[in-house]
Amino acid sequence: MRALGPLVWQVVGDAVEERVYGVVPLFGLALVLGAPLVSASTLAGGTRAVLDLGWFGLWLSLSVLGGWMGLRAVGQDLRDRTAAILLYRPLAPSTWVASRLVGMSLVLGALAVAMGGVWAGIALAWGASLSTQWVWAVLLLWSEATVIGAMAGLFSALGSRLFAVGSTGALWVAGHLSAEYGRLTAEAEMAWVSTVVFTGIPDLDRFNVQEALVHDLHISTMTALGVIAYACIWVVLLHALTAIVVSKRDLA
Amino acid sequence: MSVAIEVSGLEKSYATGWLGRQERALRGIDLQVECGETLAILGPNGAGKSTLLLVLAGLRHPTAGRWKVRGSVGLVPERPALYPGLSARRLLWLCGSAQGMAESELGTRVEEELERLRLLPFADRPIRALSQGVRQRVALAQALLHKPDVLLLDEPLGALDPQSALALVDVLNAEKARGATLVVATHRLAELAGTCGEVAYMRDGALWALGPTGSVLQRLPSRITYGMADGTAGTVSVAQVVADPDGQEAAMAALRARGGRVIRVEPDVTAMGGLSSDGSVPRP
Repeated sequence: MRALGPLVWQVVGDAVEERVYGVVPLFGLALVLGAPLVSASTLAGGTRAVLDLGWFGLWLSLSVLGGWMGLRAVGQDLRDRTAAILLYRPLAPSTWVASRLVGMSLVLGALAVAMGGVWAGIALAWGASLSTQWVWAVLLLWSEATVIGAMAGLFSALGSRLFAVGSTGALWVAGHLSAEYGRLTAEAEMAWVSTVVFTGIPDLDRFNVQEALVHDLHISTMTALGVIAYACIWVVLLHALTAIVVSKRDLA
Repeated sequence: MSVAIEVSGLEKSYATGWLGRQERALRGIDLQVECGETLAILGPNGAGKSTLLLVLAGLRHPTAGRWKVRGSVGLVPERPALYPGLSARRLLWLCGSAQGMAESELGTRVEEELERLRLLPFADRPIRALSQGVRQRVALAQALLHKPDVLLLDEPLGALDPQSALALVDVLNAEKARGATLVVATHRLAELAGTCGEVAYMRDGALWALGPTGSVLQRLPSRITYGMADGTAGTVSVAQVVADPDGQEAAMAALRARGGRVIRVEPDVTAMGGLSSDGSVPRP
């Protein structure tokens, strides 16, 4: 486990070298320019427009970054065979995969905090009053992005980049529909099939607290921690699957 | 003397094409390397040398057979894939950490290897900015960092200039003196002949010959590097000069008769022909 720290920092260093932090000012600029447009076109109040647009921007940015980082941290290292000089030592595949996921999650966390800060600043300037919902919203979006990154990591270890992008995208869409689909099919014949299928993929809609945020509804600490625990369970499961795939692959 | 590497019935196949046709890269390899021994693996491209080393390093899973490597392993792949954004120094730290080396020991070893392989002037540049030869030395440094018991080297001289190649041979001799077991896949045996006690000859994924360097080399086809009076030079196989591939002397005489000067005679490990199962050279 001594190896974990340097390997984690390598992932963070790669992300810094790739200048992922550039997304923060872009997000701020999009929010400043977009909020008045959204406000005017939807007749929503300016405060609500900033909260709505900020949540959507943060969700989209972190989801895409999570997927991209998962693909890069796991799949690209395997494809480029750069992981080989670490894994022959022998370094346990589970340690290597864990370092990728922890590093990715740290970067996503830092970006979530930075973008959340920009969002909060702009919202306050528009006259919004921020409560703990805002903190939970950022935390849950970070958790969702980490789950998406772990999914992308697994798929990128399994196959080509195209396969990984397609599978992660499909699971991302299905993950946001899983609760809805479960409700629709609950009464249908063979409901157990949909139950099995949609229990087998992460329910990403759980991380969505946009309504509560915009309408200032209370989010209980237990609910939020429950969703974060749900994310942790999925990340651990995906990590284990990815480690098994990596250990079975030819690495060079 | 104890055995460092033990390989028995090793097979490796790859699925190729849409129909998943099986290509056999290794065919029933049996091999033993004693601790402290240095083995050179010769053979034409596609003979299975690299695959064998990667299996020994645990990076490829064999289809069948058993293998055992005693002690820690250091690997220099043929085309080392090093993290291009890292500097040599950071890469060595990363590899040492992955090896589980203590921080205090690691700091000393990193500097020692950077100095020994003449990498200090390049130590803090990103690897992507380094020449192929320097990258090869960085790859060697990461393999030597933890003082491995077994060192696996795939074409270690490939990208090196003559001066660096000589320096590398010195490093390998020092590793041999330390007691490390060396397995070197190479096309350039001339530089390593003094280092290697044993030679294996591979062809089509099979081990065709294994034994002391001198006795195996005598059974391999030869090639001759020559220079002409007009300053041109070249390399030919014996079979290209005379009809008899064993007629090394006749071939050299024929070259001299054409005004040529023999510079070097060495085993033609890339020759299309190989050894037959009884160790003799098959006729073309």
